[in-house]
Amino acid sequence: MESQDQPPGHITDQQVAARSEWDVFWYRFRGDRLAFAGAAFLLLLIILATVGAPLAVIVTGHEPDEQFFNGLDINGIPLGPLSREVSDDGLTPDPHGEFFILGTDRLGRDVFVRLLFGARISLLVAFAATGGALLIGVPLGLTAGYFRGAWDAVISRAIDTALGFPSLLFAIGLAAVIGPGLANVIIVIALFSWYYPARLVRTSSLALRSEQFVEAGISVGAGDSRIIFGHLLPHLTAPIIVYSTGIIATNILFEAGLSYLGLGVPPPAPSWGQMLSDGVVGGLYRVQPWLAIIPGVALAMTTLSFNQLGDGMRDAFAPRKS
Amino acid sequence: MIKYLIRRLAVGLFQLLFITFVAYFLFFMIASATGADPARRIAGKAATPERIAEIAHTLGTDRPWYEQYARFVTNLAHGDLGYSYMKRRSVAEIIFPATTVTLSLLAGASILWTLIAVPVGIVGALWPRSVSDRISAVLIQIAISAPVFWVAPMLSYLLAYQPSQGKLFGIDVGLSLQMFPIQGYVRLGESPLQWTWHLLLPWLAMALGYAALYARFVRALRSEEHTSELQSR
Repeated sequence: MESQDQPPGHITDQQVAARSEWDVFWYRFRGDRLAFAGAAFLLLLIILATVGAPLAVIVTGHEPDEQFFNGLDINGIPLGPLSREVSDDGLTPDPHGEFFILGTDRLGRDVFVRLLFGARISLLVAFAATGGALLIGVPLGLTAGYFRGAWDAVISRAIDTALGFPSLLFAIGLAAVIGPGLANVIIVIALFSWYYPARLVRTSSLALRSEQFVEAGISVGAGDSRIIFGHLLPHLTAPIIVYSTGIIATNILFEAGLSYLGLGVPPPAPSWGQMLSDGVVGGLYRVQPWLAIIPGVALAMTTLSFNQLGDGMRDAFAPRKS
Repeated sequence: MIKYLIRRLAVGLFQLLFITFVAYFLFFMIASATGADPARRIAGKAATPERIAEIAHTLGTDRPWYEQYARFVTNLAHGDLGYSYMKRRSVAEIIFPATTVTLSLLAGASILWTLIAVPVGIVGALWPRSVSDRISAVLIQIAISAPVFWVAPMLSYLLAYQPSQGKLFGIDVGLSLQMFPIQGYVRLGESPLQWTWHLLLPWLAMALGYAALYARFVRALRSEEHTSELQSR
């Protein structure tokens, strides 16, 4: 459409190439129903986490940390989904009591409201940690592949060391030194996921290094940083986006795992991993299995969606044969 | 080839050394930040400073951290893994009995995931886009996405706890039966059957995720070979 505003023959090669690549991507991606379903679920989840969570507080009138005395039955067992507060005998539902869409947890709090606020933490940590991982990993991988030699050897050994380093030990150590907290969790996860993009980018830029456009760039006197960030990086945008989607899925599980072990975001802030461990570790899930089912399904659905989206984008960028 | 192996081995050894160094350094940072001192802990609340210093001297914790690290590495090279201040036993004494349990879990799980992954992957590769391939593709995605710390309690709930309460998947069956034990470990030497029975659910919980990854890998590998076979015909 823009070409109509400009005189014919005035389109640079770069514009044509860039547009057609994304056009082709979109054409292929549209046909992938699973990837589309994944993207739709994630969009819904983001809306639920941002707008839905405060809205749920208004509609239900339950704060995420609010404890309901009658939200536990007489044996202290949390209520299942779609149930009302028990009446004063502690067993029969009170017709005028508060309604819990997904039941209550160990402390008589509303699981539905906590699940929505937990989505905020899961998504925030996963996105921020993946962003941090890209900020560390992509420049290291690019420079390692471009400069090769000693610098590449240093980066490669650093990647191997980080791969071999026990991440849980480090998480415990860091939590002990700077105290548990949201930033701490993001730092730990970023420090243990930068090597995925670093490895990918290093291999790709090593291959691109010997292409003619790099040689041409050097021969006309373009600086190293201009070639790396102006010419190599744009070539790697597509694989980096695809790969990051997979890393986000891994990092959601990473955060849940840390929270499960009590190394994540400290309570009473709700997090899916912590909700799961709350239900499982004391054995409460044996009498109220929903405490384990609900956060587990939320986690699995979210990672599944990110994985589907990543697979769909990969196929759309570079379709495999078969 | 031998030269390459030696080089890789040397690099691996150096990396191991580097990782222990970073871990050691990290723990000294934590100790100095939190004021943790094994000598003070062992001496008890009413100990005099002289007594604490004496214990620290016996333990060697009064030396600077790099000297302690050097001693740790020297001992490691002689096969001495060190001493646990918490449990007051040598680390080897704690680690080696636990190793048999860890290896039991790992060995069974890896056999199980191979047994699941290879047939599923081959079926998917031989009949791509068939009903069984599509179903297994969905199951593979779910198994990859489900965290192991969720799969394990779900398995123990559905296959160990519920049957022992007289229910099967929430439906009352009138008689309680112990399909799988909820906890416990029996050594292989004691009773291979009991060993398997106690470990089957942990194996399954651990194997599912890996089985999914391997099945996808086998499917991709086999379908590549399959296509090249068809092309060469």
